[in-house]
Amino acid sequence: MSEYRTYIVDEKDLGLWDDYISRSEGGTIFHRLDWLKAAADQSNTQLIPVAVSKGEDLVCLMPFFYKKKYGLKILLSPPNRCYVSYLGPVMNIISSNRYKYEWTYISILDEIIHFAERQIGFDYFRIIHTTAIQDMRPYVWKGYSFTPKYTYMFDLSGGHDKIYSEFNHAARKGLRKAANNGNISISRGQNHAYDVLSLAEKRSYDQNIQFRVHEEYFKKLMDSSFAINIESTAVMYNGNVIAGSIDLIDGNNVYAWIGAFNKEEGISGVGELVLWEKIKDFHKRGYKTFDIVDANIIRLCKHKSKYGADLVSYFEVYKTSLKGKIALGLMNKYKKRQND
Amino acid sequence: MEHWDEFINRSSNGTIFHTSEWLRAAESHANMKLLPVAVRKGNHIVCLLPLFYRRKYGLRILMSPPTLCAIPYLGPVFSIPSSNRYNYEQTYIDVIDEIILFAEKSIGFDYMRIVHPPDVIDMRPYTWKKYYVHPRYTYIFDLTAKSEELYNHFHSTTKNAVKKALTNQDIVISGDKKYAQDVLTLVRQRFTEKKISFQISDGYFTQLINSSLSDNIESIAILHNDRVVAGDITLTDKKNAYAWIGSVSRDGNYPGVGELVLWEKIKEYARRGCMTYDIIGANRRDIRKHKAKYGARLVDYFVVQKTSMKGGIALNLMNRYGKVNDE
Repeated sequence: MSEYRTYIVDEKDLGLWDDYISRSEGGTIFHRLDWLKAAADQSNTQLIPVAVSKGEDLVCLMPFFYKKKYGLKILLSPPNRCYVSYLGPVMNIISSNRYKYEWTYISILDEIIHFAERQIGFDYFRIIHTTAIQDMRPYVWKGYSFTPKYTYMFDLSGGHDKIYSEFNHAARKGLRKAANNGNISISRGQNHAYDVLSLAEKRSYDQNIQFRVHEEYFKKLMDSSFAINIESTAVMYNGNVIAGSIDLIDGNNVYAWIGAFNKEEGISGVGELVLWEKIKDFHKRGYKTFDIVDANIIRLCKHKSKYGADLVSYFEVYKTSLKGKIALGLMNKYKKRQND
Repeated sequence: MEHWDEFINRSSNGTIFHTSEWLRAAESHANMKLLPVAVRKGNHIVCLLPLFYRRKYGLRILMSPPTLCAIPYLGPVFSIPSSNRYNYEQTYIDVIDEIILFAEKSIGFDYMRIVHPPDVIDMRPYTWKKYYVHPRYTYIFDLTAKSEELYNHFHSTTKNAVKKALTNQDIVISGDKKYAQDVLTLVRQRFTEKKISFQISDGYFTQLINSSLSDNIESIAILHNDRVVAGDITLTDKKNAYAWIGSVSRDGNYPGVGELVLWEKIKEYARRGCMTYDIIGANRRDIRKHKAKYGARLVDYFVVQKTSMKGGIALNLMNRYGKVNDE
């Protein structure tokens, strides 16, 4: 009999979820229960909080999101349209020995795969892992497919001068221009969070990109237990927010969650200024990493790479049943026809 | 090809498998045509890529490395002169874009596969062009750590096995290259027993061992009554060592000799100033089980693939009839 037990966490035991997440190496703010519940509402999916125990010890938590659509069973982590960059399993394996660590890690993923396939069942399955989960072999052995994904991360421990030295010429020039503009000022805190959100929404609309953070979803997060972890930085010009970002503070790490600037104002360097101000501030406050989230689209990569942050990989894993493949093929064809 | 090896040697990620002699040996052994591709930026060569081409069943196959040559990684080798990360990344992306364009438009293929070395992690230029990218893994020892520290990561059964083999008075360890051929024979035997096709012919091995790479090919053998009962052939390049092939005889009882071979090599390569020791391959469950007990660092590398529609259909058929040997 397996020494592991995989089960759906009872509602009454969910109180311990956040405690486990906060003391696990790969746990993020997106794994916190309030965020998961908000994401389930936003994506119209059912949250399935799965746990894996080894003997008496809890060794992994895995938030799955489930929905049935067009007769297909869809199992995701994270769900779509929630602006959650990473999710998937969070492990807490206590072992100083690499062999034992690896053995436990592989057994846990085997358990999760088995549970997803046999206990829940799916036609389409997708997990986007955190950067802490790099060993994908248990999925490979079960015939899952992959997309390696990337993000840019600043190592704040080396100091902001070291970070600045990696900025390229254009980023430095932009920063100098904005810093010398006497008409703009920076506002930190949560006062302008909704203004930044509106700006991001407008910018997405201008670029013909679907904006995924509904105000209701955002409000739910802002009213949750970790509202204090959501910070905004706004660039003010004549009393108006012309650029800004919303960041998530998560233990020793910070994630640049949402950002935008008003192109119509035509003031150069404000994006660079926002980022630079945040780097200095987060370094001063002792955070270790600052993840500027997502380096996977050519346009984003071109823009973000000028800051010279570390490129870090993570993995998207997916699998589809035959029925899922046919349905996905048809949906893609329909989408393509609509775009044409 | 005159300056090929010089470039490989000073590049950031060139390996022994990228050297011209190894490529020539692989070319004749794999029965594929070597296409040595270079990418220039201005007056400087910034990348070399050894591609191998052949036509089979009407399909144009483009690979790096070719199959059946026991080459774990190949792909592009870079020398991008830039102290600035942004410039480096932009050049890197431009280089891969060039390679993709050249492979697709100037050569053409129905099936293409590149296995990159562990240091090349940015696969975005491939994913942007709809190539299928998937991770693979190997175990690498960091030899800059103290040998005792590496030994501490060994699993208890491995430590016991090393101790057992060390107390066996009947065995002798030899680094004499004259046993290399015997080691090869031993490995071939083991593969035959396991019904796995063995990729290294005597001709290929002889060509390599008689080439200028000879000094980079080393063997270690465990002898019992002058007979090789375990052994390994290791490759060295610059500051890295690769456990290329190795095996233990199943005739007779020699507990711990495999573990002893590895431990002796860790100490030896660390003493000689190698930085890493790659024990190649962690991708099959059975191999992982065996290799994980040494507690080396798990490192990922990437395989990139693309097929034309014709190539996809043919591959599916070949897979169905077992004609594809991917290892």
